[in-house]
Amino acid sequence: MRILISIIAFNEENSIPDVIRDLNEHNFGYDIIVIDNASSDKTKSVCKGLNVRTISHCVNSDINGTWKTYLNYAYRNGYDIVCQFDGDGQHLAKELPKIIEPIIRKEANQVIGSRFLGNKTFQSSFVRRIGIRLFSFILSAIFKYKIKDVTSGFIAFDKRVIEFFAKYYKAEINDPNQTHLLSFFSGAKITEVPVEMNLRQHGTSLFNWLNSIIYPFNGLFNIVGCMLLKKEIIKDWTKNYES
Amino acid sequence: MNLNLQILSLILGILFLLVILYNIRRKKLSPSYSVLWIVLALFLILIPVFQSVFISIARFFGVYAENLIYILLIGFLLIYVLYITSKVVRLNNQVKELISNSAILEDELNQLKKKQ
Repeated sequence: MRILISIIAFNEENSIPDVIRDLNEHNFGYDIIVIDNASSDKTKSVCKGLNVRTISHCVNSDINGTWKTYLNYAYRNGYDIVCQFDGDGQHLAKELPKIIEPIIRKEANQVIGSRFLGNKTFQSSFVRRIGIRLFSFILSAIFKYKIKDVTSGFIAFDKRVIEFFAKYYKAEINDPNQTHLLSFFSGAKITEVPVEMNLRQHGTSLFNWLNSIIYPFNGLFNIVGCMLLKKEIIKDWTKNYES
Repeated sequence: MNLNLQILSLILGILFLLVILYNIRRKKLSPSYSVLWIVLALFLILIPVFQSVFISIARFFGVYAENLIYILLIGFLLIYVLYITSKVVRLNNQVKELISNSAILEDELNQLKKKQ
């Protein structure tokens, strides 16, 4: 089993050394790469100094651009599992086996590390919680089983999902809901496991007040867009892959 | 329709057509992107020429001929903006794919250089 941990970093020069030290201390034997989304600070040279393989974008390509890069990288290099890991110190290395093991046991194709299952260590703003509730409700209705934390960035994908996104679905992905829906349509089984998370240590959240107003509407449109693609994905991808 | 309006439409249409053709020759516009603009220019030229047809169409919809011009122009612009938006989305996807590919290739090149 070849397992890749991809750390997503955008202007994280302060926190990335801690994140990498945390990963190295646990020494799981996973490969680590840093996807540097054209940071304007010293993120790139800090990573070089820490002797981590760093893939740098030449210009900033939003958050979804980094997903594309690590999925393409994992596909090209034939990885079996790829994990997304934030570079801001929010995620803990000791939690990694929890989201990887369900895939190794072949119980799931995609595992979400959830902040809402189990003991609560994560509190977010009221508006954001409502947003997460809403999308969790919609996705649960479509999946016909419960998904609670739909915006978590702590996700692991298996080979099937990697191939789907690297080879078939090349269009833009705007938020995690869309990833979950598309991989669900592609026939992947998605599960959720409880994990612990740190509060955000450095930098600001993607969700500021303006975003928190626009985000729900945008998210709903994205879900409608995915629903429109459902038939095509099942016809062109799911059937071909399974046969 | 007012004669002055007809003349204005004709002159604007011809000027517009000339500007587009000039820009295509200077390679500032590509023919595939300017098809809709040429249609617009021809539309402006053809209004005064086939005035009676135009007026009877306007009457069919129960509006004045002048208003029909506005309606058609706005409709045209909406279609064009939609077309441009779809092009932007396509370009956006292609650029993202290229950024990701070039980053991965650059990394592979660096690894090869290290080995040598």
